[in-house]
Amino acid sequence: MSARGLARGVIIAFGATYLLLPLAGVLEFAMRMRRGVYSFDAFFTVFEDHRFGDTFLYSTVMALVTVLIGMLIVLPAAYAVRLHAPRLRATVEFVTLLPLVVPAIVIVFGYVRLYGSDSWLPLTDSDFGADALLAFGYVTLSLPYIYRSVDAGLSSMDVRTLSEAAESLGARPVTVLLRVVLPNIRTSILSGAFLTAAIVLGEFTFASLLDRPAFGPFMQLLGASRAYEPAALSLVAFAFTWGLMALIGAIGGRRKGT
Amino acid sequence: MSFLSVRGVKKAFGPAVAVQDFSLDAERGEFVSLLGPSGCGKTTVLRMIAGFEKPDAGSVVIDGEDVTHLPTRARRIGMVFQSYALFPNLTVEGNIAFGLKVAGVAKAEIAARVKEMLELIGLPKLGGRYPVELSGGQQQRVALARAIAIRPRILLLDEPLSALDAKIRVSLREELRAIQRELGITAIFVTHDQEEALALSHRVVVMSAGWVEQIGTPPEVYHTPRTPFVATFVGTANVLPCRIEDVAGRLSFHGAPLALDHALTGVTGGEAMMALRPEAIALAPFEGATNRLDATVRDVTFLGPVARVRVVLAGEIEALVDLHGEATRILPEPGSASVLYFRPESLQLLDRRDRAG
Repeated sequence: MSARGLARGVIIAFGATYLLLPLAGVLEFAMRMRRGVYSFDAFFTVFEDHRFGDTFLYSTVMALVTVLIGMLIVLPAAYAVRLHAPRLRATVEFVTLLPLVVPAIVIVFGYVRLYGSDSWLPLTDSDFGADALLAFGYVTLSLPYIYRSVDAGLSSMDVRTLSEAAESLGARPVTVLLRVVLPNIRTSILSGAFLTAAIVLGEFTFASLLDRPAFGPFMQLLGASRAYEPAALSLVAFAFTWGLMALIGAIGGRRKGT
Repeated sequence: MSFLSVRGVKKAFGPAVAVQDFSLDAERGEFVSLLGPSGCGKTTVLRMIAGFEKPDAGSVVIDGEDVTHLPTRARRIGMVFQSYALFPNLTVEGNIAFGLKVAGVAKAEIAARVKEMLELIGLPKLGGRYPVELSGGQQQRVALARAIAIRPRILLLDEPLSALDAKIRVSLREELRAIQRELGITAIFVTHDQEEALALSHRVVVMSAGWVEQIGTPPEVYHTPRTPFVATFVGTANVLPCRIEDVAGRLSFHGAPLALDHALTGVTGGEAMMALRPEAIALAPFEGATNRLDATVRDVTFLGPVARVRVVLAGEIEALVDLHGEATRILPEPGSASVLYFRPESLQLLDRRDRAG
């Protein structure tokens, strides 16, 4: 093996150890629930708890809704800014970054005051209203990630010329967006969607303060009251995230020409 | 009325005026080039015909229909871009079929048309490829096929050959001309390359700084340039100061008498500019060369078929003389006195238009 190959091997080994050692530790701890032997008892306890399935499903649906609303807002906006108002780009980018600066607790307090039971639009009075509020909150929270990934996707193609080419062939703006722009930034959209899903699945502040049965508060509750189960749960969540990532890689790399 | 009629079109981007006052009439099946240096407004004119830019004034009429305020998609034009602009997510077939699908053409007809187009551009076997798998020349041919598949009323070409390397550029140029002539489609071609414009076009529109300098057939533009800009931008020309002596076409250059081959109308005396192509001049007398000027040879560059002689006229003004064929066998010595011989018809009096902007 050459010196260079050796150095590469050492670096990879170091990186892998850095990432995998804590995971191995968590796994080892999670398997010690039964005294004296290794077992998957903690995992079974987590899976048997109906709140796991309920909250996970709830948060997954929330994630999908968030991605959908977020994309419906961001995609046309980013496209229009790029095509018709390139000077506004810096402003729009700044606005989309605000959720990173304003803490979630501040946003959700604002929501509760604006849409609480004594407000002009008491969304928190009904479950559906609160769910909607939570979804909108998540859209705000994920704006930086959705906008950045969509904008990066648009930067990777010659949006203007391709749009003009499609238009010269008779396509309407909606057709251009759906048939030309969207397919060419599919990978970016997927990565934005993935980041959003990861954020929504683990989000605690919004869900907790709006009292919604989401996965984040469940993880927190479990972590505060149990010993081995939280470790098992974090591994499950981790595996799910990795699964999502692999899926995106597979879909993104499936077709040529992106 | 002509097939394409652009009337009094103006366009400014903020304080910068891109197109001053542009008018052009093109007949059905005509190939017209807009030629000029970058920033002369030629692409803006094309984009206004396409509908990508709205003119500040004037109108665009295609086949009797005023399209000035129609969106691009309703104009039924075909456009080819310098950067090819193929849709990277679609195959060659998908690209060619795009406009037909948008128009709701039946599937069987789309398939037939795509096949016909692929054969027209000489790529019948590459229908399943993606744009990234094609060379630049192939991509541009697909872009051309995609533009003409929808049977547009006008084909607009925005420097379509500029991104290609020299050899492909020439072969694709020939192909483009053949396809345009075969389909009889009206084409407007934007280029900064005078050779392309001369080789392809029925007529050339020479533009500079937003103005039309001259519209004419390639030989007209080359042999009878109207302005100093056209004389020097299209080919090489010696642009020299002169004096108009009388309406019969007699001129003088630093006291030396010269003659034009035609009488002048409306011009009576005064300073003017004249153009003289280097290849129209010989250093020995020849038939019809009644104009002559004394010169001093400065230097000589032998290039094989051509020898380029730099001379000085009237002690201060540089001029070029191109010697061809047998004339290059014995070359003049630098520093020697010589006489330039040329015909009256080689001398072209130029308009001296002063323009703001």
